[in-house]
Amino acid sequence: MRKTWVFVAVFLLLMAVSTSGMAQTRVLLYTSVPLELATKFADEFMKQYSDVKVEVYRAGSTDVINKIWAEHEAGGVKADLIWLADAASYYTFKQKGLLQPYKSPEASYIPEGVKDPEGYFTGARIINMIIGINTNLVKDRSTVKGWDDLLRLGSKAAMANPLYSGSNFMVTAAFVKKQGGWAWFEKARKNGVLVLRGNSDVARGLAAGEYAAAMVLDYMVYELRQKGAPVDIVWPEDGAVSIASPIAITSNSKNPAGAKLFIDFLLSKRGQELMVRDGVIPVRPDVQPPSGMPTADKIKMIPIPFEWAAEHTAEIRETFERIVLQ
Amino acid sequence: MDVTSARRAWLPRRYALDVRHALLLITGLFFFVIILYPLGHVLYRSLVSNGLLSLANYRAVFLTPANYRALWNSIWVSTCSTVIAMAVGTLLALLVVRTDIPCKSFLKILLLLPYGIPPFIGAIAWTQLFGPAGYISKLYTALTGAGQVPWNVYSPGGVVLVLAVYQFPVVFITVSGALGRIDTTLEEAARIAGAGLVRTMWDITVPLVTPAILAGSLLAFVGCISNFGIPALLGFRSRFFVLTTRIYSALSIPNIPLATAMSVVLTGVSAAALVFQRRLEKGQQKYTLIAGKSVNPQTINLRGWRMPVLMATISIAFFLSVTPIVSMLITSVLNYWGAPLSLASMTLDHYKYIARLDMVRRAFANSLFLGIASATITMAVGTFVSYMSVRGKLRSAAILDLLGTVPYALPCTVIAIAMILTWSRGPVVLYGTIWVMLAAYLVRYMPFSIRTTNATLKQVHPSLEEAARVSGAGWLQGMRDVVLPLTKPGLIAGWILVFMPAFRELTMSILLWSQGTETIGVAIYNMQDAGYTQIAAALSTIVLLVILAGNILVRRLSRGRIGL
Amino acid sequence: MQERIRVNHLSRKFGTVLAVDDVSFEIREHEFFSLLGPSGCGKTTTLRCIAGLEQPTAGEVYIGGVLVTSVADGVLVPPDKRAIGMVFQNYAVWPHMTVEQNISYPLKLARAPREEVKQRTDKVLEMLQLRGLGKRYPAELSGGQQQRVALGRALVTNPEVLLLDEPLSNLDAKLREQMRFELKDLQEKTGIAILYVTHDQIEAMAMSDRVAVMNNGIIVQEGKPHEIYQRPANKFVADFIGTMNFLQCQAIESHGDSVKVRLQSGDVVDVGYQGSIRGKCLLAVRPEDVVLSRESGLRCQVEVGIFLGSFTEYRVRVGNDALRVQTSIGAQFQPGETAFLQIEKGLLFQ
Repeated sequence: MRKTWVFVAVFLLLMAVSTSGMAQTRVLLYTSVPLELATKFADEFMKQYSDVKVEVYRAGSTDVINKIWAEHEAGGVKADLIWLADAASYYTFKQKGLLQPYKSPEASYIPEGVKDPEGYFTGARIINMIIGINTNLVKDRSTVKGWDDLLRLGSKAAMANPLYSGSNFMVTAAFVKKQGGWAWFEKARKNGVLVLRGNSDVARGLAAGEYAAAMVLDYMVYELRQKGAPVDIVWPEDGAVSIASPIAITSNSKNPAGAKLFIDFLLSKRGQELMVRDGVIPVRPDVQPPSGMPTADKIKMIPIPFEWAAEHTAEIRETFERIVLQ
Repeated sequence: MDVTSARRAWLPRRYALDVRHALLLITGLFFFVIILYPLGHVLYRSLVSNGLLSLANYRAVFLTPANYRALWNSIWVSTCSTVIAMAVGTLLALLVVRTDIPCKSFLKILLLLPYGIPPFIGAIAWTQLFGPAGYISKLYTALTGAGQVPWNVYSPGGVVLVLAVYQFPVVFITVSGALGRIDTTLEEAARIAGAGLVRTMWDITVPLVTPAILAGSLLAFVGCISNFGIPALLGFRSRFFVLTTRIYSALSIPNIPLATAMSVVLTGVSAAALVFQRRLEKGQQKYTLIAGKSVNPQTINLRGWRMPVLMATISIAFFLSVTPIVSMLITSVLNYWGAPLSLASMTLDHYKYIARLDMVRRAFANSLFLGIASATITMAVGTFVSYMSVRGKLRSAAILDLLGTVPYALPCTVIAIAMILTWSRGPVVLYGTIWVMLAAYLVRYMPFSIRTTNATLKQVHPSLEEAARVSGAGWLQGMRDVVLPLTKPGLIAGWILVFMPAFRELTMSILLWSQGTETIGVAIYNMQDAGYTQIAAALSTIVLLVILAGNILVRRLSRGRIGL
Repeated sequence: MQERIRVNHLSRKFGTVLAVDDVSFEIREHEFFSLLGPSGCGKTTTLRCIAGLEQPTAGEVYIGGVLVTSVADGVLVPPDKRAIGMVFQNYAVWPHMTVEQNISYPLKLARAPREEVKQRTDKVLEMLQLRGLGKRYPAELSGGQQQRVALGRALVTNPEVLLLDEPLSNLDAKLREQMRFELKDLQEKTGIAILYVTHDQIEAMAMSDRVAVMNNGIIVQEGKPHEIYQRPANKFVADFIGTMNFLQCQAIESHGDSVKVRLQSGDVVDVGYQGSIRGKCLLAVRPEDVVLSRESGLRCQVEVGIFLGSFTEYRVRVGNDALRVQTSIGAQFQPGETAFLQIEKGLLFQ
């Protein structure tokens, strides 16, 4: 009998623990930025503003977007901040009234191209879709120069799935718009280029030598190279796809003041410098990029058709599914 | 007033509302809200296209090559894995339970270890061993000098094998349970009749445990067909899709109507398997008169084969259980995945990182809560429902029993979708809270509890309880004084069987969690997903240790009667 | 007559417990031999050692003159190579096979030709009155029918030895009596040697040619049923076989073939006894060896009487001792009545 009571007590205690946990003033961030990076950022921020507690929900871009829409339908997005790689979806968010504008004083240092003129969202980091190579497997660097070289490598090359990854969705839109069609992807399918889930999977396999080259995000390769993995970045001669992963405040935010503080911190010189340490190219021209990486304005880019991508999201995804995944 | 007339005085109350009926009604309502209503939502959404009732979504499932191919893949992959799991599980159960092989309890623990590891973590571990850059693959190429390994884990074959590895313990558990209960004189009679060891096994033992083999295999089949993690990890790369991964794609597009239609089809397939198994079981009921009072269980003397068989079994068990764990451990201390195995590339940073993470602490608390809550509630409800249908032979209870077993055929993905559709809108919004996860867990684990409580209650002869009633105990008192004490070991074992998988649940949690309601499974998955394979491996190692420690604790407390 | 089973110095230890302790006996052709004893006396273990289902820790077993178990020589023929028939206490009829399949299974294992299998199975079905039930499953049979299936399965190969482990204990009284006759008939017909294990002394007495009474792993007495009944070797056998009255007494005089003893009531009785005995002893008297009358003998008090058909059994009191006595229909006594009894025959144990 006594055991039963102990049991009941533990049960109630756990219920209490799991339902409580309210902090002072709270900012909830929904993001697709890798968790380690996001939490490191939140920790640094909280060191400076100890009365604001930043909580991070991290998942793949698509999962986060689906969650946002589900919550929106269920009565309002719970997050205060949204920070994703899929820049196109911000156009839809803005259009459907999910965001509120905020022009951070720090945003004035940021070039026009990577922020919304009305201030609904602001680019917070430059991530680039580049070609990553495994230096053990690619002996002759001259054989991997541009995107078409991936096609030639066939199943010795890999990329992430745009149905999952926001950055790859951007790349797909950029490629299709630039080439006026799906030829590159059709060929990728024909030659058997591997399609993995997310970019992290791609980077991991590249480091382990599961394939020779991959379409992957620059900072991930950078980080692995720092850790000693046999990988390197190749800036494609036909242009990288450069994404200014934006951050925005939701219109439903319970704590816009805290959210604004976070954005200010993120866009500040110090915030951008923190990002550089992890191999990310800063949005501010007055912050030096990671060693060996170009500044944002030096990157040869394939432009991203944001609004077109936002309008045709489902269509693009379905076509990709049909052409590449079947 | 003497005792007899005092008791007789209660007789006229037969029309009064009985406690049992009130409880049945409440349970019925509970099942409706938690199971039927959400399922209705899924079915409804799958039948609506552009605001009109139509079968368009189903047409898309059966007429689009990618979809019907995925359906076919689901069926054949699950069938193959089930057959392998069935053969391996049954053979190992026979060896461990019915022979005098040494170190039985050690072997049992070893063989059940895969059950304690979240399958997708296991799948990652297998890719670390056999993937193109895996440890064993590297060893193979180094030893043979071949440029490439002759196998490929990222293939349908890989999916089949890894699924089988994670499902054979299910068969093993059910078959060894049945073998332990078998009347050994049936086998002895065959020996006297002139049958040798192997012949006796084949002619007598195996047919007698066939219902258990089938039941275990059905569980394995449903487990395979509803698994998401393994085909996602191993099938994606070679564009090999099964229903669960297709549903996931449909959700990502997002094409909810298609996702719900495929969910209904997936449910149909597992339901068909369930019905099929019930048929078979019924056909065999005519000879399931396994005698209750089994004598001293006799084991088969392996004589000279003892050591070779032990070695072989241990190697298999080691290979299936320990190698992935070792590879997980190695990964958890590596600088980056695929780094050369040398001290220079080893680090404990990942463990340090975990220790600092708030989320991990929350995840442990949440998983503990969900595990304890779902195990306790399902066992309580399950005991009551089984009792009423097994003992009371009440028709309404039999319906509840069936209803509670329906989710058996529901893949986790479908349950999660049902929960999202039902609880994110309407009068009660639970989506985003821990309660929606609890609801999903309850649906998922209710059949497990009903099955175990059914089996446990059948082992207590009704006369024992009747004796209590005749002695003057009321229903509740008879239940408390006789039925519950007698069934306690079985009920506690059932509780653990729910708690363990609930503690590390992933498939439903990953679709239902939100900030603050992370579970262990979600935490590990997110780490893995974000590219921190090493951190995920470190976290998995910790979880595995917790599960093992808990298991040892339970064994201690129950003096070895419960636990793996 | 030929020896069919021989057991030499058989022992079986479970941990530190000696379940079977140096047991030896032999069973001949046409013989019905019973191992009789209370539960836990080692009789079933002995049987299982003979069947090869249990490994003895010492001793030898011969079946049909062939050494099948010898601990010293390391011989252990597996049960399937011993060519015996056996019926288990719970019948062990395979629930997943029909009656026919159950019975013909040993023939199939012996690779008998199909016709022979059919013919012999039919013969057994006929003999055991199971005709028409061949296609049924055991679950559809009554206890007695299942028992006969088990018997048929044991007999179908015409083994020289049949081992029966309490085969009648699960049957109701009527059926049990009927089966006793059937078993005896069967033995007449087949000449098979039967080893019968039971705790039911009436059954053992009724059916056996010879009985071995076991207690605590030891055979305490072996002999023909009437010998054991009339001359139990010790108090245990006397108590276990039949009904027996035990009276504390004091031996006072020996006369070569009889002894005078004084009961606790003070009465002195003459008892036939070979040899000498002195001091405290125990007088054992069967109820039918006491004559109750209104005329002469020891004075006693009638307490209660039970009418049992061919006789009436009374419980009477002599001093402080209670005795059960049987009388033929003639004399009737009322409870409370004073009567007299004469002990016609008695046994003395030291």
